[in-house]
Amino acid sequence: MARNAVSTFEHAQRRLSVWFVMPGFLMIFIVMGGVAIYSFDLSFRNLELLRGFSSDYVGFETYRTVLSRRETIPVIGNTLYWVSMSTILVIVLGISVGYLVSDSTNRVTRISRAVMLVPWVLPGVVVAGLWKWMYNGQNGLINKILLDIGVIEQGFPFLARPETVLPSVVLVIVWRLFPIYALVVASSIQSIEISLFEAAKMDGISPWQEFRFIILPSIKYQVLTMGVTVLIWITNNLVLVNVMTGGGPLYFSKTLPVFMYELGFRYGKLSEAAVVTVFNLIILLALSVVYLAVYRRNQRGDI
Amino acid sequence: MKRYGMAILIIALIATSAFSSGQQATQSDETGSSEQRTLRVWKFGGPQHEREYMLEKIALFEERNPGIQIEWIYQNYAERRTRVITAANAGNLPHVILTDGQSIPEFVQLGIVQPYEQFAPERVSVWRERFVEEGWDTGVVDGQTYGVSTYVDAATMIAYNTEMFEAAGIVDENGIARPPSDWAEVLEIAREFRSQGMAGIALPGSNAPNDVLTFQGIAYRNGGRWIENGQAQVDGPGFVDTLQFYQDLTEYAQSGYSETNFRQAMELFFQSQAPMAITMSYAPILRQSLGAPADFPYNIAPFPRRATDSGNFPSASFIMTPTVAHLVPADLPKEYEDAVIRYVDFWMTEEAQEGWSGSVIEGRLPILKANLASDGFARVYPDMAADYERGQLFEGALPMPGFPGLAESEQLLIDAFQSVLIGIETPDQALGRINPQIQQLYDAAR
Repeated sequence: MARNAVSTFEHAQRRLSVWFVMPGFLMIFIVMGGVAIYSFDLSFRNLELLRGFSSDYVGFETYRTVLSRRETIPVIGNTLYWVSMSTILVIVLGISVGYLVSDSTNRVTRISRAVMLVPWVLPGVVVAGLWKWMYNGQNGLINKILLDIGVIEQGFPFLARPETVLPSVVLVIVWRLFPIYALVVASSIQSIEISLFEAAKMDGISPWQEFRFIILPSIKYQVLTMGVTVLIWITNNLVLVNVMTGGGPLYFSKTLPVFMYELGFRYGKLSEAAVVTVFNLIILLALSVVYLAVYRRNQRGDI
Repeated sequence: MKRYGMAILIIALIATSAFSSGQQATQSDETGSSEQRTLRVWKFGGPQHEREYMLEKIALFEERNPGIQIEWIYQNYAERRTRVITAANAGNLPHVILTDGQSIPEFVQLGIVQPYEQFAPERVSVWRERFVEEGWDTGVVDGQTYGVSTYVDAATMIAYNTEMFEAAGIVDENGIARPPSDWAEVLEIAREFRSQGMAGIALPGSNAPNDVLTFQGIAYRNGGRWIENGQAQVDGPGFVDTLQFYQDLTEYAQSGYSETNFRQAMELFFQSQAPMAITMSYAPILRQSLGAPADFPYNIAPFPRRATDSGNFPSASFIMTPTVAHLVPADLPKEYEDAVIRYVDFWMTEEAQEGWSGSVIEGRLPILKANLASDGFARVYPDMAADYERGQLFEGALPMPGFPGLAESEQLLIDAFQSVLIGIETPDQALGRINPQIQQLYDAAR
């Protein structure tokens, strides 16, 4: 009897909790789910602003049109390069630099941490404009320095060459994002129990062993969470590439967000832009799944 | 009960106020043109000082027409086509649109704009008299006037540094710097300056639409065409040879030509980092907005032709487009017609257009006869003023190509253009690849 009463009470509580969660769920569903559903719907239509607001369902025809575009496969390749290289570099540099500046008793590291905020607090458009000028083949600062020290004999157009354009933009996003990553790592290291380090010292472990067996396991949650967040930021980034190169020369630096923007807002091909959005969404969903898996394993203590 | 009474009172108040405002609206609609009218005007693009000039003139117009107020909205030039078409689809167009002439055929095809002959027939003949015919025709489609402008921008021009040219001995019989005579000489001069360690020519080769427009100007001069008799022609020798010429020039151009747009190319030129630049007639506007000295030693001339034109069609001396063509939407409400006519009428006068003679805004090619004969024009474009006096300025000039499907075709051309400049394809391959696609777009749009 008593067990039944408890069970009914728990049941009622669960039902009530559903109602408490409902407003938040509805808001997320309308704001995010609604947009996603609309994008999917649009991707199966043939909506072009230049032809009016009406459209028909055309099945996978718009997908075929997008995939038959000369630049689509290179754009997907560019996006994969852009996302993977940028994320790896941000994480590696972020952890390394974060470790170096984690000692808050040192004045130099304290100042360094303040300076590290600069790339992060600057607006994206300013960063893009600034680096575009620095890379300029004729008047850019980087070329000026390289010319002055005799490394090159004439200006090198980093953003005008197919082979250097994307790596050059990757370096800029790494420059922009690794400091914030490093600061998170540094803060996480500071929160590790000091007694662990003291015990390790008494055992006579090397700095590498300290990093490998004490620091890394202690900050894994922050490293992973921040890593996946950075990865999503990079995947969605439009401003840097669009302002610095506009996707050029030709399509050698065009990523999915730039392609989507170009199709939707320059040519009014909303359905084709929706197809690219779906591609981007699939990539982001895959990344989110990885994130959730990592998060759950982390919670269980598997990693 | 009290609550019911209060509710009835509130409903009554709302109904009364709605009824009275509805009455006001009806009265206002019935009074016609004598009522206060607010005209919404969209202006696409243009440099700051030109916009300021136009706003000053609008203040003058409002002073003289107390019943008309202008709500001036500045819009991004790059988004002009999608912005207008979207607004038309949403039934949200302004009363007057100021945009480029190349967009007009597409807007006509989509039924977005109406010809002046339809709602202001008596004014058209008056205005037309004041303009040179070739300039006026930049707003005409199928014999109907859809756009009336104050000036045109012309492509393609060569800007050359007179001091550098004189020092290099590139002078006429009077010892004054002269422009190169043909493509071969352009290459020769560029090679010569390049060997001295500077950029031989400032070449705009980015993916900006204006850069491919300057290329088109040279191609048209070489007898090339986009479309002729309903057939795409960009794979013809007019375009192919011009693109080959561009590719040859890249050897002597500035480093990073494929990331340099028209504005940056002129910046290099005005910093004396290149002795010549490929540009359009708006080069003096760029001098003004880039802050180069007023006495910068340079001159502008139509871009030299190939020794023998290779295209299949007659050479165009230049191609031109108005960028402040006044367009009127097809669905303009009747009660606004009078105000719109008065507004456009104002801009068609010498008084409103005087600034484009070169007295305020340098670098626009006026099409009003009075401006072409002015001192300001002679000061900014001495060679062209002389040509105008001789009656040769607009000889062989054509409106810039405009046809349904142009926006996307232009993107294809940009693709081919960059593909050649960075060495992925030859001009033959690139233009041969896009020609059938342009044909398809053209056919679909019609």
